[in-house]
Amino acid sequence: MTTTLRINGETHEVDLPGEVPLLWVLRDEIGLTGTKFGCGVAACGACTVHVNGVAVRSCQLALDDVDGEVTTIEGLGGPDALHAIQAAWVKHQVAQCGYCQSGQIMQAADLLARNPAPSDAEIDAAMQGNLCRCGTYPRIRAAIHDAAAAMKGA
Amino acid sequence: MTERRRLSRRAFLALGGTATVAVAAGATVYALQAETPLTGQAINAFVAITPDGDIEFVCPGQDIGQGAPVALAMVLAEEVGASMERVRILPAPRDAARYGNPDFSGRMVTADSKTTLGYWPMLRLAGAELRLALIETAARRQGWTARDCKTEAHAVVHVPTGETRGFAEVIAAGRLRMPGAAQGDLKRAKDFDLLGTSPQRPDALEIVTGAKRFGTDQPRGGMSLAVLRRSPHLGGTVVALDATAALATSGVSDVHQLEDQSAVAVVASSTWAAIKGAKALEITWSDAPDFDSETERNALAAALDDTQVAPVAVRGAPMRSATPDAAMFYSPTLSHVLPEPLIASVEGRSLGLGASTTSATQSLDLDMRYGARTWKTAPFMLETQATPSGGSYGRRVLNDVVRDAAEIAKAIGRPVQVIRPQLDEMIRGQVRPAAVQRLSARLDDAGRLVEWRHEIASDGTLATHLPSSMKGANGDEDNTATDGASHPYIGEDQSISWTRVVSMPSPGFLRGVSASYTVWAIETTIERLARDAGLDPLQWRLDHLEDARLRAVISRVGEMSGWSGSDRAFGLGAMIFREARIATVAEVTGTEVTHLWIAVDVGQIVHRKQLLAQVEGGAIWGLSQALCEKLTFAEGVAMIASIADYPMQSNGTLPPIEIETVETPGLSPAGAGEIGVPVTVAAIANAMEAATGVRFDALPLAV
Repeated sequence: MTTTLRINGETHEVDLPGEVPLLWVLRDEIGLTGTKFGCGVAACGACTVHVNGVAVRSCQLALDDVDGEVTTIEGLGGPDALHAIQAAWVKHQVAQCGYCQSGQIMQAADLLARNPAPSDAEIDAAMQGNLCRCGTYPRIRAAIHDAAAAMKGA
Repeated sequence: MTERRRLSRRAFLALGGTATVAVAAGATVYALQAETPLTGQAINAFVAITPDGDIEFVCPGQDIGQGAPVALAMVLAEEVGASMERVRILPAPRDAARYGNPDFSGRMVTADSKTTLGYWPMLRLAGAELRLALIETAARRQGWTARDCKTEAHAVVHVPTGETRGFAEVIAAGRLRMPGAAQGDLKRAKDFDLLGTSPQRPDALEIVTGAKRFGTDQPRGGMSLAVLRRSPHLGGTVVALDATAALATSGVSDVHQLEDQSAVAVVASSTWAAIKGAKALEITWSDAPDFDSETERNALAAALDDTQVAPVAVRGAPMRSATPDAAMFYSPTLSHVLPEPLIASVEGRSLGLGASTTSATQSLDLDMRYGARTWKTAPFMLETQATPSGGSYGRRVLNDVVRDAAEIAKAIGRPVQVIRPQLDEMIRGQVRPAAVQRLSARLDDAGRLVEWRHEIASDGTLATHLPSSMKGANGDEDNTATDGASHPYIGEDQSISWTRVVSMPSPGFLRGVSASYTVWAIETTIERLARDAGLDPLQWRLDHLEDARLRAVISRVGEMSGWSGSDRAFGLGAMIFREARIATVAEVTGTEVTHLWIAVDVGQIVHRKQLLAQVEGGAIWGLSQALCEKLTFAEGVAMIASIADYPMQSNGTLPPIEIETVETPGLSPAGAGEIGVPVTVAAIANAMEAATGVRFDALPLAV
């Protein structure tokens, strides 16, 4: 069965069973590997993408249930046109291994879209489901504040 | 006079392509390991310079997430006088003779906080050799005296005139003259201008845009993908298998039962099909073993009194605790919880006589061992390649997924990539083994530490997997089980010993190794003794340490936290580990950790922000070990249904963490990757005891 998907502003026709999680559609079928495979049970946040601007765990979202425009880390901003959050991540040298950071950034983008000036507590609450085993949390928080300020000034 | 020795005399084959043919004793041998493709003039095994003046650094350490390649590149670039943005980091091929870490028995292993520490001397020399070659060549051409020249900002500078010649200009006139370098040619620490700064890592943009390709992101081409179904309990083997439903799953091509019957692999054209196929396997497993964490804890404690077993001496002759009320310290089994699942691909080469592996690994050498043994070929017939890995923390040293991939690729006769889902690894994979320690000591009338009896019982990772790497007078000390046990305090009548108790879960290396619990037992004992004697535990430490650098970090962390004279619930942890000196103070309010202060002296700082990130990340890991983490087994089964059942420190409840450095320029850089973990566990335990009056005998702390 062919499904039509809108991903990062492009249309893709995929011929896969409707039960296949969006994560594997993105990674194995479309070749967008920026969205990471972590726990596979929506408990780590590495696979976070946006559907209609809202952060979702793509490992638990079946292809059949994708209802809207998908944005992945590749669609958030490229190397020449970074999103303010990506720029803040670079500035604060947030990443250690970097594996969870696509998901962290997508989650942070969702937060700032809804709350342009989050408090520490609001950041913690929004980011709690995104694990970072390297322990980059303090820099993630600092980068989110920085990005919020930059987006406000923009 | 120091003998001049050119690093370039080490065999250096600047060959491209995929195979080296060596002819030895009349026999032709095909070695598959590809050389690093360089475009520039090779100066020695580690560095080449391109016609454009760019530096190519052949990096012997793997990109496992904590910044080793950047740190090593900085060490080299400092000596060259190169700008970091003009340094290209290229992975070294597997060749322990050239690229092995001297601090790792000459093996190519990126682990154990030894990468910067181990490669520091040779990379400085390698860089100095290029610097002297550039200076000699420029000076000869310009009519300068080489002694009047230095390098700076990617150029040779003639100091008396201030004239400069960029590296590109120097190399443009042809090959460099090669005067060689010796110890006396190394830059002085006071002249360092790159070390101690925080240049942006070259992959920063790739990470934030999702372009960085980790192991699981490598292009697979037409390669099949396999997922293994392993027994839900420890030690289970296949008794009966019905693969009908798995083989009927769309996309599944093969089902292969591993030779040792421990797992069944489902090979498919896509990851999802392999995962689904593995779920569809119907397997009857052999019975679960009689293993549970509580029984193990009792067995570990009992081993300390087993007169049939001779403990391994770590310091002094092994002695039992002198008092019947000696304190006990239990640390549970832990899991790594890798962000990126274990991943390896294997492809047959040379008509199947050899093979090539690609994996997110910490050791090309050990991958070779796993691959060659499984492929049943000679080690040199195995090419091993590394990709960046999404977190390693010690788990990818004994990277056994290579073995799975080699067996399956050989069995199905096609290349295959194996991915081991996180939960499977947590249930049946490697662990930080549980340990029981017993520690007694006392302070004599003068406040001196006497009758120190520290007994440790645990399994040993080296003893289990790499017995030839054990150390000690009798070659029986497993430093992954005794690390951190040799405390720095002045004292008399000391005995530290280790007894091995074989465990069922496979022991592995995990960030902080045994120091995360030995330092806890030591520092808690010290703090209890001092408090019981009415002494300030921080001041007692200052009075009973020979090491001035450790005293300095303890003093500093005392100032940072406002320790002196305070009645807040503070706890301290301090240690020397991989030559680093580090001390943490934790504050507990009620039963919450409300603040962490850390002072650290790592000798020469290489990349400042990476150092701070590692110490901070280590402290967060320590917080997690102190308060959350344990992997419990019952009737042979890990008691988790998903990673959600394995509590870990997340973003939600972090206390402020303040870190300051005490700097000692000119010393070698110490290992920094793990040091934040043990001292933070100890500091939190001590602060919790100060706050609650409870004496804890187990991690995580039951509060």
